[in-house]
Amino acid sequence: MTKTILSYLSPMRRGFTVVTAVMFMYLVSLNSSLLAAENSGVSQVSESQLRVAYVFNFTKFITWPEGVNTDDFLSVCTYKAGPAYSDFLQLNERVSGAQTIQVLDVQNAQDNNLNLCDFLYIGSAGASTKDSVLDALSGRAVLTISEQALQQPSVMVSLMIVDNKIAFEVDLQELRKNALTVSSYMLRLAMQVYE
Amino acid sequence: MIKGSNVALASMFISTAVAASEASIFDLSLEDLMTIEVNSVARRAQSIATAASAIYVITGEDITRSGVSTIPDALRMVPGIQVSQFDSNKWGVSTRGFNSRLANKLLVLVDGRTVYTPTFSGVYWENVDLVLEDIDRIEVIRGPGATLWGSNAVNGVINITTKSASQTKGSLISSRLDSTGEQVFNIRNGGALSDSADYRVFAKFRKAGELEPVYSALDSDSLKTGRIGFRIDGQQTESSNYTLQGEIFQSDVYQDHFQNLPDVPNYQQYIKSPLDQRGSNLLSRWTHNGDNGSVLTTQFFYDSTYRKEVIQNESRKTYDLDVQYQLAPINQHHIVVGGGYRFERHKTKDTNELMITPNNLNSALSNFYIQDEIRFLDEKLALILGSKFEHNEFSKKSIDIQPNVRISYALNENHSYWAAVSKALRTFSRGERDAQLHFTTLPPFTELNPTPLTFVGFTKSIASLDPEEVISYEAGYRGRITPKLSVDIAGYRNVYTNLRSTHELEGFTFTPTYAKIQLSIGNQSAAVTKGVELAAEYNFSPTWKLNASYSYIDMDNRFVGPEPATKAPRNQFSLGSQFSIDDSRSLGVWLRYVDRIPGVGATPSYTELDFSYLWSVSQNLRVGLIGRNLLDSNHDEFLAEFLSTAPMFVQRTFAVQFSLTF
Repeated sequence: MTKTILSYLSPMRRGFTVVTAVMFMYLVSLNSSLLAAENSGVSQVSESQLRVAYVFNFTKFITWPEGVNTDDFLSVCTYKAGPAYSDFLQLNERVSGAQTIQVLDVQNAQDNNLNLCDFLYIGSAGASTKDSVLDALSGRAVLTISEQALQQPSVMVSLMIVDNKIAFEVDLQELRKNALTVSSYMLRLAMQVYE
Repeated sequence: MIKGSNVALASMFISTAVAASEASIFDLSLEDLMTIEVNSVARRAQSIATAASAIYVITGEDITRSGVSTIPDALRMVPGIQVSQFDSNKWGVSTRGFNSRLANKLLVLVDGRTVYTPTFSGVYWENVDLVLEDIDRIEVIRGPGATLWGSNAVNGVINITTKSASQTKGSLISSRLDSTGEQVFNIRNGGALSDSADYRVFAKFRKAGELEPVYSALDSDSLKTGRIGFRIDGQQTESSNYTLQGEIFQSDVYQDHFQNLPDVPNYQQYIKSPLDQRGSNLLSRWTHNGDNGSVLTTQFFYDSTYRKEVIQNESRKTYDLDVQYQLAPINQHHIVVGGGYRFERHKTKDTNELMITPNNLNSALSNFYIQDEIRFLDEKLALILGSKFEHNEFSKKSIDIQPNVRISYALNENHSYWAAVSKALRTFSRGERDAQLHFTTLPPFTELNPTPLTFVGFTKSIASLDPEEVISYEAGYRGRITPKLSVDIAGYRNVYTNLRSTHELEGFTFTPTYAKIQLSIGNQSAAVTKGVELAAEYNFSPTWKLNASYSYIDMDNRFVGPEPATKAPRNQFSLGSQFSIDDSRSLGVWLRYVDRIPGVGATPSYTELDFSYLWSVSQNLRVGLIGRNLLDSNHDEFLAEFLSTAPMFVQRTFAVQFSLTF
C-alpha cells in the first residue's frame, strides 16, 4: 500500500493540514485571476438571445391578411439592433409554421430590404430615428417590435424588463390598422393590451 | 433565517420554469420564456438547467390550465411531491417522505414570508389561499435548502411568488363553482399609482365544498374564508425598487374533532369544534442594484395570526427582518451573504387537551449565512459552498450550523449533471417542547388495556433538545435527449438522526377516576430514506405536450416509541397531456397514480383522472369546464394525525369557472 505524506501525520494533525490546505486554495482562488474564466459558458443565455427567442415565438402567433406574405420565406428585419443582430442571425433557416426565416438588416428608411420585411425589430439605438423607417412601412402589413417600451405610436409589440424578466405589451389598435391578427394565446400572456 | 427574495433563489438555484436544458432557447414556449430571469445587473438570463438541486417550477399559466382551485392541488403536478387531502380544508404536503397534516420538514414561503407555524411545526394549508390568477410561479425545491432558507427546510422548500403589481393592471372578476358546493369569487383591480409605481387591490371569498364523511354518522365539514389585500411595486431610482404588500383574512371552519376524555363513559368521541382563524400580514422589500453587479435586498415583514378551536387557542405576532447582499463577482466567485432577525410573541390558552407552559412566550431567532458559487471552465463547472449559522432559543446548541456543498457540470448545451451533500435541521416546536398534550385514553377491560383502570396518556414538556438533523446526498441529471424530449432525474439518500421519539413512562399519577401516564418527547429516533424522482416532457408538436413523472421512495424508519404516521407512498406516477385545439381552446388530461401508504394511517392506493377544457370566448372572457377525480366516486387520502379531525372522502368533482378581465 502506498503511503502519502498525509498518512505520516497524526489523525488530528492530518485533518488540520487538509483544512488549512483547502482554505489556502480557496483564498488564493479569490485573489488570483489565474483561474478566471471567460464568461462564455454555454449554460448561460444572454438577454439579447432571450429577446430573439421572443421574436421567434411571436412569428408563430401572427396571421397576415389574405394574399400577403404568402411566399416560403418569413423575413425578420432588424433596425439598429446593435450586438443583438448577431443573435438574430441564429434565426436564419429556422422554420416557423410553413415558412423559413431569413434575417435581414435594415440600414435606413431607403434600404431596399425594408420592402421584404414581415417583421421589423427596432433596437433601442434606433429609438430616436425610427420614425422615418416606420413611416416608410406605413400601410404595409409588417409586425413592428421595439426593444424597449417606447410608447411610440405605430409600434405594435414592445418588449420590456419587468421584475428581472422580459415581458411585452401589444397595441391591438395598431395591429388592426394593418389588418394583422394576433392569437388570443399571445394576447393573454401580454402584460398590457391596448385597444 | 428565511430567504424569501427571488434574488436568493436566483443566485442559488437559478430560476426559470424550464424543466429542461436551455439547449435551444428557441424551442421554448412563450410561457417558458416569460419565466426566465434576467439578472438585472449582469443582464444575463440564467436557467434551472444548470441548477445544482432538484427544482421544479409551476407557472401561473400551468395553474390556470390545470383547473385546480387550491394550492395543494396545484402541487400535485410536481414530481416527487406527496399531497394528501384530509377534508375540504386540510391537506398534508410533503416531499421525500414524512407526510402528515403538519408535515414538519418542508418550509413554505409566500412572497418571502414564512407560513410555517412554529407551534406544531408545519403548514396550515387552508390559510395559504391566494387569488390564483395573481400567482406568478411556485418554485419547489426537493431536498435540503437550509443554507439559504434556514431551519425546517429539511426535505424541501416551496416558494410561492405573486405577480408584480405592474403585471396585474386592469380589473379581474373570476369565479368557480363545483359539484361539491365549492364557491370561489375573486375581484381585483390594478393600475398605476404614479409614473413609477403600480398597485393592485384584491378580495377573495371561498367556500369549500362539503365532502362526504368517511364515518357516515358524522356531518360534512365546511369552510368559509375571505381575504382582502394589496400590493404596490415601485421604482425608487434607476437602480432601486420596492414592494409593499399586505392582507387580512378570516376563516370559519366547521369540523368534528376527535376528543380524548378521561371521564367515564365518553372516553373518546367526536365533538363539534368550530375553528375560528384570523390573520394579517404586511411585508416590505427594497432592492438596490449596485453599478458593479452587487445586489442588496432588505425585507421586513409582520405577521399576526389567531386560531381558536376546541383543542387549541393561540395567537402569534412575528416581526422578521432579513438582509441579503450579493457581492459583485470577484473573478469567478459569486458570493452571497445575509442575515436575519426574527422576534415572536406567542400567547396560548390552555384547553382540556393541550396545555402549553408558559402561556405567553417571547422568543427570538437570529442567523447569518454565506455562500460562494465558484465557476470554472468557461462556467461549465460550478462549485457552491455555503453555510447558515443560526441561533434559536428552541435548540439546545447555541449555534446551529447548516452547511452544503454543491457541484454542477454542463457537459454541453444538452446535458448537465449536479450533485450535493448538505445538512439541514428541524427545530423542535413549542408543541413538542412546552406542551402537555392529551393524546390518548385507554378505557378499562379493552385489548390495549385489560386492567380495570382507565389510562390517560399525556406528553410531558421537556427541556430543549438538539434539533432533528438530516445529512442528504443528492445527485441529478437534466438533459434534452432529442429536440422534443427532455428529462430531469434526481436521486437521493437521506440519513436522519435526532428524530422525534416518544419515551417510556415519565410520570404516573392516580386520580379517583383514572391513572395519568406521562410520556416524554425525545430525539432518539432515526431514519434512512432513499429514492429517485423522474420527470420527462415530450413535445409532439407546438400544440401538443406530454408530461410524465415518477417517484420512488424507500423509508427505513427506526422509531423509538409509537410509530408516527409519516410514511410515504412508495411509488407515485403521473401522465399529463396538454393539447391546444386551436388558438382559443385547450384541453388538458391528467392521470395520477399514488401507491398505498403502509403502516400507521394506512391508505389504499388510488388512480385518478382529471381533465380541463378552457375556452377563451373573447380576449377578455375565459371559461373552463373541469373534472377532477373522475375514476371513482370517492377515495380517501388521509393519514392519522394528532390534531385529529373527522376524515372526509375526496370526491369526483365537476366544476365550471370563468374569468373576465377589463
